[in-house]
Amino acid sequence: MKTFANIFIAICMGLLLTSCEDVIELDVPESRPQLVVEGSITNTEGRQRIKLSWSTPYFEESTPPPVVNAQVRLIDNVNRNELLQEEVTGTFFTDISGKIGNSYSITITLEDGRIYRSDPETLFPVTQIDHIKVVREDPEEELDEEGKAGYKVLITAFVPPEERNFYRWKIYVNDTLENKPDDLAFARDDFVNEQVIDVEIFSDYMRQGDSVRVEQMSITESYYDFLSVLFQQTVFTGGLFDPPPAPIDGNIRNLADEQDYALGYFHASAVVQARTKIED
Amino acid sequence: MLSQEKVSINGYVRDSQNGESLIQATLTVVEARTGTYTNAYGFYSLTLMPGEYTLIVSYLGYERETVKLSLDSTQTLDFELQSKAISTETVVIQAEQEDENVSHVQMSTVKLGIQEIRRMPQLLGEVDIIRSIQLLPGVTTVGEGASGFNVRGGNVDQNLILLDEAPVYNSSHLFGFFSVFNSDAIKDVKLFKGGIPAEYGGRLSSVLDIRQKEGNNKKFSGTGGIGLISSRLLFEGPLGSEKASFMVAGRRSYMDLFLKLSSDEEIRGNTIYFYDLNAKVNYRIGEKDQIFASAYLGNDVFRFRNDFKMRWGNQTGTLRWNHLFSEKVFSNFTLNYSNYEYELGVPEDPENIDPFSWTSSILNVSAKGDWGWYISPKVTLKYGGSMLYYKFQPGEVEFFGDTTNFSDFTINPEYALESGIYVSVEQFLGNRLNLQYGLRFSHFVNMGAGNVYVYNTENPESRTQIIDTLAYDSFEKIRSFHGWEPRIALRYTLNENTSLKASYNRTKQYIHLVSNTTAATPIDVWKPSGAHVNPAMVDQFAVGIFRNFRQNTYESSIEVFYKEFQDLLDFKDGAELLFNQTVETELLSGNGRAYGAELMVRKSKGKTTGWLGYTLSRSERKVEEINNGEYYPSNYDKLHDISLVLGQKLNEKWEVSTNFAFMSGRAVTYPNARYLYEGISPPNFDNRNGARTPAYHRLDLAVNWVISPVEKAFKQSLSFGVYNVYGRRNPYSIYFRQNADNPQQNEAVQLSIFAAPIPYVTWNFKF
Repeated sequence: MKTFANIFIAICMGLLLTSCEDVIELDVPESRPQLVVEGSITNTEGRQRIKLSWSTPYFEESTPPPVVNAQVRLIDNVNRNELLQEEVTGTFFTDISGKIGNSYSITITLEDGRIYRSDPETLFPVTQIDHIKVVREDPEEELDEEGKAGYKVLITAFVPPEERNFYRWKIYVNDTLENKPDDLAFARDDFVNEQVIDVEIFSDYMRQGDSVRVEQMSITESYYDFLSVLFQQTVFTGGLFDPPPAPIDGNIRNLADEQDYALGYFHASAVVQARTKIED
Repeated sequence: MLSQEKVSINGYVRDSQNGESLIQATLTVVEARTGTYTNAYGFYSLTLMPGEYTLIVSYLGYERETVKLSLDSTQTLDFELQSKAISTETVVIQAEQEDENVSHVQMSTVKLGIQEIRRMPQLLGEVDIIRSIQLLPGVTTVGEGASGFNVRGGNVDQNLILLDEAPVYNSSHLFGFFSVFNSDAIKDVKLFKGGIPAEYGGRLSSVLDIRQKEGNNKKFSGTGGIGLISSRLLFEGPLGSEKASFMVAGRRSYMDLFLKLSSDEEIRGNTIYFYDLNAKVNYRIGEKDQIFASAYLGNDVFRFRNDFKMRWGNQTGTLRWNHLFSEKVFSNFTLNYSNYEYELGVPEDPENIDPFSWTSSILNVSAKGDWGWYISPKVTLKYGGSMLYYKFQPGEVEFFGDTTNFSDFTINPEYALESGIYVSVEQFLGNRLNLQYGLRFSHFVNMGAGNVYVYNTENPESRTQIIDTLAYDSFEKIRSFHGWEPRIALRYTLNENTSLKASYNRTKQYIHLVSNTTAATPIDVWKPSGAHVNPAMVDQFAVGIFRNFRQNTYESSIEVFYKEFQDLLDFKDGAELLFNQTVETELLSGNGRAYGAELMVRKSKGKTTGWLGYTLSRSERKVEEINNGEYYPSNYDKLHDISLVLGQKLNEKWEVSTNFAFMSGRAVTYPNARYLYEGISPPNFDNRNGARTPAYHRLDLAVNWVISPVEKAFKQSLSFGVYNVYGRRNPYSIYFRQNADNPQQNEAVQLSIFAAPIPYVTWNFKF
């Protein structure tokens, strides 16, 4: 009977093996380069950064070229309108820090005269991180050859009751942002009934002594939606029940042409942070 | 001269071996050059002047019966026809009248005999009605594992699937690889792709009418089989006398039983199985009445270790009463119950932080009455009405853990009542023209108890912000809809072998399937039309030419259709449909059109049987928010679709058969650029369905071997075959990702399932 069972399992496995994944050569359409915006305004002291680049053909393996000769202005709802400094080609800075309750947007003027503007983003307050802890994902797991293992970051925070807030967390390991698609961590608190939330973020492989810094940010619903789609479209791929491909709509468009929009997002966030070290 | 009163004959036509009623058997009155056919319950009625007549009763695959009648008064006359196929299981019985293709007014309709389906090569030997239907012209599927089907450019939720008149909301087992219908328990399958008669309503694109066996009323017998995936067993027989009979059937997959025997603990911890139960009883009370009760229960259970669990299934029940008000008036009253339910979640386990269970269901109770009044051989009047009560339960979430952050919640259930009344006339005008015209009036009310959210659509930062909640009491109207649905079909006979047909129908659909995954998942959320969602509507026009050759040995048809859809549901890019209490904010509404031509040549007699089908078609959508509001191809748009189904009987014992399918690539979305956002390199998809997958093609082979001699009481046979003979790697999906080692490098990946030849063997028996 046992032999028969094993044969049967072999058949089932064989069946599973009849499915296969092949990396294939494919002709994909090519659009003209589109403006890409990555940037934010936060309430922290220090520099705010807006980075402009161009999209490239899908299979091209290179760093996207920066936008040259553009101008970026930061506008808020209390009459600020400031031209940002371009210090590196395509990257613009300001020392202004955002104020909670204000709303911000940017306008971008390209060399060819096209003007893009982001939808206004309100800078919402953010709750404090009450507690941070980093623990092994699986204590039984053996360290790899570099002495690393899987960890998860646990954060406890108080959430204001009866509100609908949106959050994002960024994890820096030894001051380097974890930025693979599945490192995107964001949440909404509508379903949470208690005042305390525990957030569990799986992190990359780390080793003892690594420092971990977590930024907890308030975000708008619109940025939350952007992140959800970004996450969906980069992480949930290849399975049987995945959502269909969809554009990741940002909040920046050409004022003169409804159809022309920029990729990426300009967001406003309040930020708090917490640090810890991996000790065990 | 005394004017003579007309008289009627009526009765049932049944199989002489098992008493099953024969649907659409033909009765021809030679002298009067007229005739009729039996209805869905095997009943006929003919009205004639008194006189001497020769009546021929025929049904394909059965010996025809000729009787001399001296008709002077109204009488009841039942017929029992002898099956030509009593000797072996494998002879083709096609449940169709010989020249039905040409002589019926109905177009865009296909009947598949269950024997014909059983003979075709099958995936892993599971005889699958839905997969077989996909080989018909005008019927396509999105992909290998999608058990749903698309008819003439319509979405999978636009098919009304009826099992003994009860709607079935999810027709798949095992994530879409198999369908829920146990072929042993099924007697008749009929698909309406167009020209949908007025008695059917509620879905836009098709009606798949499946009837279960009534059960042998002559003797106790059984059927069963053992296959790779599942085993099945059916018993049927008389209950006391010939007046009553029963049928009960079960099927269960058993992969999981073997998983438990594995030495690997990880494999032992998994569970996956499905089962079905079918049952039916019927009782003939005298000459005028017959009652039926039938039920279906099916479930799928899936558990991946302690991490994830899932269960889903349908339950349906039907109570039916056929009554003859007079020799000319046949009636049918039906009570139906149907429930589709699924549950998914994380099991309770010390290691799981937030164990939960999510349940969702659509429940449906309905009553209907249908009357058929056989006024004369030239005019038949049908009328009736129905009422369906729905309860939609989109989601109830329960959390179990002690440490959980979350509280239980329920997404507002919705309630609705759908009603329809119809009248339909089939009429012969002269010898050449046959008309069927009808009108259906449908009404739908979405009602309380419930809450309706009012959204702040003016706020660009948060269009989903709720600014008001309107509360409604039980049965209080939230919003109602109604509509007239005309249905017209005509046939014009050019000569004995050729006819022209044309039809127009309008259908409305008040409930919508909310699902945006590529494959068929059990996670179906049905959404009724209501405060934020409108009913969908389609107008379909079709014309065709039908011709039979060589004494009806070959049937052929060419049909052309055009469909115009209104208010179809679509989804916003990246819509979140699960765990969403405000799912209406993720929905879009648009229009669509589909058009095409279908060619079919079918041979139903002789040693070689089968069909060749070809469809050339387009299916397009138009949604303001997608692709700049221009027409774009729908997910299941495939320009060419060719299928060849062939069976060859070699001798009394051996038969071979083959399927070949070719479909041009379906519409998909490919990225047109990459960019960098915070170190992530996402694809940019800005042209929905602007590209095509590579073409799909597949060849299957099967051999059927009747082991036991014809005379034996215990008959057994073996079916074996190969699915995807030449191991074509058909694209199931194509997706895009960052290369794991080099995030700067993007790659395209094709996922293929069943990408190798898959053999099977099934042992069947009958006693």
